[in-house]
Amino acid sequence: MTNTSRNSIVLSTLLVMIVSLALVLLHNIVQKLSVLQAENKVTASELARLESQISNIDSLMLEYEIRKAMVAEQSKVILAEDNPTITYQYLLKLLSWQGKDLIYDFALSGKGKDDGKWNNYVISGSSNYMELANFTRFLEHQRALITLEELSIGSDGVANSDTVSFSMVLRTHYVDGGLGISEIRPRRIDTRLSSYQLFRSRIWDNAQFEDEELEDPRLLNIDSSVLIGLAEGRIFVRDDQGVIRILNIRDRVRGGYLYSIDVREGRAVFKVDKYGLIENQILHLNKEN
Amino acid sequence: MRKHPKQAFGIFHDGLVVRIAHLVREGNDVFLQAVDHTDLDKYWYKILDDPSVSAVDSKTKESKSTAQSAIDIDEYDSEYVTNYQLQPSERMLGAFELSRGVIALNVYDENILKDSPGAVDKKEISRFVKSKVPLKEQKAKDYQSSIVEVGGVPQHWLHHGSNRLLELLKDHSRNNRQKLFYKLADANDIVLTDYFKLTYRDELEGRVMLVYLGQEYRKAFLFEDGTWQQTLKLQITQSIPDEETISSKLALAIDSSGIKEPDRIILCGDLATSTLVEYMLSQFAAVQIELFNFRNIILTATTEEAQDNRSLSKHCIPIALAFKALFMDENGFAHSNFLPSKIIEGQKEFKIAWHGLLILIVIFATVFLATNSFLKRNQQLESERRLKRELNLNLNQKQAEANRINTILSDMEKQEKNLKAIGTLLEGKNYWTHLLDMINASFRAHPTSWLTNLKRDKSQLFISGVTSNRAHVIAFANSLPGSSIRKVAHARIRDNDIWVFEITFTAPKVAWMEDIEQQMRKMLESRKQSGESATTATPATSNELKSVVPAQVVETNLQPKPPAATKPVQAQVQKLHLAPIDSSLSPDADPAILAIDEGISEQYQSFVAAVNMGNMWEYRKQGYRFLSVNGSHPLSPIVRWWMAYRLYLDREYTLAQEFLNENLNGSSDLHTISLLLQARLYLARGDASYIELYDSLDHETQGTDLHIQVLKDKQEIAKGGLK
Repeated sequence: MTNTSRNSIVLSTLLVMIVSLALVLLHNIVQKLSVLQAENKVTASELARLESQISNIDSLMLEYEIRKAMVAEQSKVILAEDNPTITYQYLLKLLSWQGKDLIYDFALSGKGKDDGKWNNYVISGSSNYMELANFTRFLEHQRALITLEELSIGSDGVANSDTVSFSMVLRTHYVDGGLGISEIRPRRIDTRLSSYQLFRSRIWDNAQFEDEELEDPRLLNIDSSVLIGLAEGRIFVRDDQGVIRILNIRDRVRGGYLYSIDVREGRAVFKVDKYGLIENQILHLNKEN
Repeated sequence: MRKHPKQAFGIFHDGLVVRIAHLVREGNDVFLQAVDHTDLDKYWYKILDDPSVSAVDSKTKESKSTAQSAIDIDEYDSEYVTNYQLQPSERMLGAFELSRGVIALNVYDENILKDSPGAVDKKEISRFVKSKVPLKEQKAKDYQSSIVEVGGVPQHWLHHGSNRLLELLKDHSRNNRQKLFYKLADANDIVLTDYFKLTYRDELEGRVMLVYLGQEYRKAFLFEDGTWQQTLKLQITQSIPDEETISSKLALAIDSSGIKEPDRIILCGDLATSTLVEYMLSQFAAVQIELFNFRNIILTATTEEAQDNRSLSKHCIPIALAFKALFMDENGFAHSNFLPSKIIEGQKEFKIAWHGLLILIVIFATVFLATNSFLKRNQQLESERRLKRELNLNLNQKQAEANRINTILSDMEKQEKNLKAIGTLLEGKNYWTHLLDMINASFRAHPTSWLTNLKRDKSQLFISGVTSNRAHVIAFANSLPGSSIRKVAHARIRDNDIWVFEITFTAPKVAWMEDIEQQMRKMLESRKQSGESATTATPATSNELKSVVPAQVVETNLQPKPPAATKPVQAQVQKLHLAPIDSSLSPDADPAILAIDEGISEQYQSFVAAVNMGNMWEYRKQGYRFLSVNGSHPLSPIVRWWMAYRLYLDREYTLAQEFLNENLNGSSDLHTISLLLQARLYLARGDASYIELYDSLDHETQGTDLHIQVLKDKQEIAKGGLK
């Protein structure tokens, strides 16, 4: 075998090796390329899908912001979570927004999961009726969704008293995605509530006077006074201090006023409201004097 | 193989002499550097049969016996081998730096076998070789073939046998550790005729005869118009013949060959001398006779032998050999070379044959193509990778945005769900404030009455109280929903009649959801009135425990300022909301598109139903859902238009614009009706562009139904639009 033939064989082998190597490398790279191209195609189609999906993102964001703003201003929101601490804290917040200090006992009375999650609390105490009514108004109309399941109010039986005993069962609702208690801000409540001491007893057994009447020294206490003289249109009365007072018709006395003078009969008639009803109280002329 | 050698050594053996010529090439100039010769003491190949050989014998000091002339050449060789290396040729060769150039040598003329003219195809060559070369040597390829053209006819020449000159050079190379480069081993006839034709190429018209008179090699070559026609072997047996013998032998050769006398005779070789020329001129009166003129070489050698043409004549063949070696690849030399193929191959720098070269080309081509292809693919791969990175980055961003959309949609859904939940949870609850307000008002209107107890009794409510007027009990009962007087009892206090009563009633209804929705509507209205500027603003804390900023105040702020002198048009732009567009012009879905996908069709119908309903949230929810899932669906431009239009009707101009932009950017069928809505939005927001847009629409919609709407709008604008 000549050198050239040998070299040709070597070159042929080299050629075969080069061709094989080239084919392997090309095959690998083509395979990688096709895989990559396929992946890119999938990614591009996914991208196109996403692009069409997000084509309205600006308007959606705008809408969302509007809604968020409105939800934050919404009159009722559900809390994100609740426990006795949160509710108690919220109740104190209500009182502070109200500027009142209602005394009550507070206790968790139950939990439930029907219609969303909720906790029941019992509040009981005694308070001025209107303060209680206003507290109820706040409770019902402020943002946190707390439903008042029960309310019982009873008069305390004390004459001319505005204090009532009360108990209420309130239910704090909460749900995932609700608002945190700290995010709840007070809102203006437009709902009106007529002011009236509903539980104050208007008729009583013992004489009751307004504090200002008791404290006003100019008002005569006719129960402890003596009629000592009568004239046309006026009377002369000695009070418990021995001081003589001159009263004309319609002059105020403690709990009422001088209604009429009967000179002939020697008596003066007063209209007084000491027991919740307007009654006639008559002072007769003391002849001994 | 050295392609373009700069130096060549032509070495020529003839009889008992070895001659050498050193040529140097510089561009097309050839310089004769040196010539030399050495005499051999023995014949290398054979002893001449002719008795005149005795003259040669006198030189070699060999026996004159005829028996010796018949000595077998092989026997002779073996005897010779040990001696010939000691020849003075070593001295001659040593004087030349043979390794600096290429070597051209002649082959022994008698070792050349010639096939019949024209028998040059492969089969004939093979047949000739088989017939002439022993099998063993055939297998060893110990022969060389060349095709030579004589008289215009190709002829196969076969060289077979030893080449003493080559062996001498190989020994010299081995002994001196010189690497010699053998370029050519040629037949004397070929190299001489080639060189002659080249030297006399412009003077070869007519019949010219080249006569070489060497020690052994003595031939005449006849050229007709430059073509080598015939070779005449001169039968001059004397080693040093006189002029007369030479002339007469030449004349004899010409006569015996039957050719005409040539016009010109050119002499060269050992025996070619001026004397011979003169003598021959006297013999061939009509013939121009001269010595060989080496006109294509420049003589630079200073030796006596190289002084002029006369002295150079004997070096004609070595010069011709060296010359052919220098210009072998360029000039019209015959492609003959009787160098053993082993030597040719061994000298190749890249020892490859044509098939090797072919494979090499294929390798290069393969490597080139593979590299090219690989680089191309690699570039594609890189570009795909880059694309992948970009796509992934984009995808991540879009996915984040899509996730955000999903979160927003989910949040919005939660908000709606929560709103519904609030409505459900408040259903029939939180009526106490309302109740207390009712009772307070009623009792205040009917004095001397009070409550002693208020409670819930199972599903009903219960109150007990006291009044001084029993007729009041009726009034109280009437003021309470679903009431029933359970008991009224008489009592006396200090001689006054009082009535203790008990009433049951049902809880009053409080429309919480209506209140909430009304409040939201108010907020929305307030926001619109405040110019939508606060659409994205977070809720202001000023709303807390205070009323929402009065719309009038904001409106006052937005009142157009007194017209500036330079911008009267801008200052006079009005903000108007126009009456709804004629419903017959509203775009509707193509039934064919609706028929394609039932699911999408249902979503679309649901959206259309929501648009036509009063619920301000429902159509938005449906619209967002539709566009999120089917953003590129053919129905999406219609949904966008309806969203924008309904938002316009709801006076949500900024949002409406957001939806409309997509339709304006694209080239949908809804472009014109979208432009109308755009004009309305401009007008609603006090943008003066509405004037130009309406004018354009007026022009573009001529002859269409939409034109009527455009005219209507313009009339309405002139009247001042809706309040």
